[in-house]
Amino acid sequence: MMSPRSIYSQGLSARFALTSILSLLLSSLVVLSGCKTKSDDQPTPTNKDYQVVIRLNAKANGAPVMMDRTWFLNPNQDSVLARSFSFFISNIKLTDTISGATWSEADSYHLVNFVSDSSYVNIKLKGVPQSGKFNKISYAIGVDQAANSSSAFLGKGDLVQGTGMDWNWTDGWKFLLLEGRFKDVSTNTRGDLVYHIGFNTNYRTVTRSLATLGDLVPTKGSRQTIITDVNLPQLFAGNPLVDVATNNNEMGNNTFTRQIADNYASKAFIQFVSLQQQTY
Amino acid sequence: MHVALGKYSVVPLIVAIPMLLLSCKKDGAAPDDTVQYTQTPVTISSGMPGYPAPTIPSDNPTTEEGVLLGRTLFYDPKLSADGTISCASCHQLSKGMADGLPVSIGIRGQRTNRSSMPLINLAWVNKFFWDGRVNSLEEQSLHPIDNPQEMGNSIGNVVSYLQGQPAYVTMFSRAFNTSRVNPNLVAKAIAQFERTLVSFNSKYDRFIRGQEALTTEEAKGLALFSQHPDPFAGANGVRGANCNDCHSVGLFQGKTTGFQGFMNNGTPAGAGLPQDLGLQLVTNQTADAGKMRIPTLRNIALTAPYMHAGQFGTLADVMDHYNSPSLFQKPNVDILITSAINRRFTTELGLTAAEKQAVIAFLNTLTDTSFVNNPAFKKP
Ligand code: HEC
Ligand code: HEC
Repeated sequence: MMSPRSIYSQGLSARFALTSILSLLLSSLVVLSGCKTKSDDQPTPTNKDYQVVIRLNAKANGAPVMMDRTWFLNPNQDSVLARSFSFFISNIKLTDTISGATWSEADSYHLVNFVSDSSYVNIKLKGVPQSGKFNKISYAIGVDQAANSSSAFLGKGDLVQGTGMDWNWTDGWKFLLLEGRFKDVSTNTRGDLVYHIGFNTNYRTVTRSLATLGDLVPTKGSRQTIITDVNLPQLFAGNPLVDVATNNNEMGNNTFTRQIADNYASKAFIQFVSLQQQTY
Repeated sequence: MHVALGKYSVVPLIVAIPMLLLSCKKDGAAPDDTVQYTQTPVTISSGMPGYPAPTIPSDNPTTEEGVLLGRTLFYDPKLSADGTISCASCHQLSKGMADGLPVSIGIRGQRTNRSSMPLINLAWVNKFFWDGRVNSLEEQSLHPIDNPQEMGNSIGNVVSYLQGQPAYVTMFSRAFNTSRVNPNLVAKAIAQFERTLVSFNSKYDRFIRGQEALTTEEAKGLALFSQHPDPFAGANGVRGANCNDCHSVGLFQGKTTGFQGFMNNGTPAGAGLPQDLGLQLVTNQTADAGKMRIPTLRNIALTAPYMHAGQFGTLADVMDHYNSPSLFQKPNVDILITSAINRRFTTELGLTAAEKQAVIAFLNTLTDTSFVNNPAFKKP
């Protein structure tokens, strides 16, 4: 381990050396501002923006999961209550396997953060081109090594501070965070569950066919929503199954967290359910 | 709604002027308000890359004229029923915009049941008050006025007082292009002033910008502050004070999505007060009992005593609280506390005296003296 002194004097100041001129207090722009007209509040959909949305429904054994409200059974038959559940889905790419055309989202770092009053999260893909249709998607769970180890990526996509996903200064981002409680029925144990999964070794890329849903054809004036289920119990899969009573507090870079990473990379974790098209 | 004020800068003047005239007429200006003023936008920014964007409601952009009016209102004791209490009585700049008391004292010496909150970086807050019962600064601004324990007035009285003061009427015209005072505009102006109370120039910030070094002890404190301890990692484990899990480094507060930034840190009831139910009062969920907003720790050295009813007099008391072996036994205390141990198979945080001292040394680097001395925040 480096001493804190060396970590901070080299790592940190270098990180922010790029920070140029800062408006420490308030900088005023000498520009006229009108009162606002209502129409400013309704973003007019354009050809480029937000045509493709991925909806992620938090599910357990087929039923919606609300944070801090819904207990669910994991494969080991322990009851789990998620208080907070979030993860990064990043580096999203769409491919047309027939033409070979590929589109990669710029600054593709989306934080999927489930809050208690809703069991789903929408992420919006920015700048999907209208030309072409796509039948394959690839994405990663986590933050790639480049962004995980450099301040140059701060502010790109959802790589912002204050989301609870910044770990500490030296270890990069948490890729997946699950916090809650468990009841182990067989041994009648109860306890707290804290999984903070990160580290480059736990970064996972996933490629999935969309063919069964039908082609994704981004079109002017329409919004395509890829509906997916995020199956929380799947995080506890494997051989042996995760036993929460044994592993309830995990944040290291070890075989246990690698099992969780393999679980979030599995097909059963994010299931692609259907494709919905809505015209404006 | 996030609206970057910067976007106005791209509106060509030629477009901006007619827009201004049109929209302001629609906004309910009295027919005799023939003079149209233009407002100068103010940009609210942390100036730090990777910090979240501030929230500025699209129907209340911050302007110099609105801020000046809001600041004047903030310092005016005539907003209270007997002319003795202004917002600034309980939110004093020299005290980091809090009041230095365990619980605030309102009109006619009444003791309220909560501690004043420091008004800092409010454009980065999504739910206001200790229990999160208010969703916007605009909504918040009027609450103290008609709270019988705080300013004990009615907003109707305040509006008629302001309408009778030519100086105020002019300020309303300059800020909102109307000489008709109404509660909505009072709220908007105060909220605009509050959003300018930005504080990102502490020693810690200068360190982040590479302008100043931390001492060895402060750096050790920051390392502990940011680290979730893991006694099972490697041979010796990783030591940590675990503060960052809740007071996230940067803004040093909780998350700003829904009520995710509210947690139960096991703070006992305030002196002579029943246990405060906190967020449960808002959500009616027993799981939320005792959850409070995770406040920012910026300028924390200036805002003693600490917690929602001033339960702790000093930062040393706060550290003793988080380090106390009995904390883990409290009902509902958050799992981020009970999952953080520095020695295997113990049920306490277990920091050493030197480690507690280092965290305090680090907390002292969060004081922004340029904030408390900023003339723009003083009584106009
Ligand atoms: C009698 C003392 C007192 C007065 C006067 C007072 N406040 Fe406060 N203020 C408090 C207390 C106490 C709280 C916390 C109350 C709670 O959580 O229930 C608070 C909280 C706030 C908050 C919430 C901050 C946050 O981070 O959520 C804002 C904003 C605020 N006050 C602004 C004002 C304004 C504007 C005025 C004048 C119109 C004002 N206050 C007058 C005592 C006072
Ligand atoms: C589980 C989340 C959590 C953790 C971990 C945590 N805090 Fe807090 N902190 C809170 C909450 C919630 C409050 C407000 C509680 C109240 O007023 O009842 C608070 C309040 C405080 C206050 C008082 C702020 C004020 O304006 O009065 C200080 C100081 C503080 N915490 C410091 C720390 C330090 C230092 C650590 C690490 C040793 C830490 N906290 C760890 C949640 C947390």
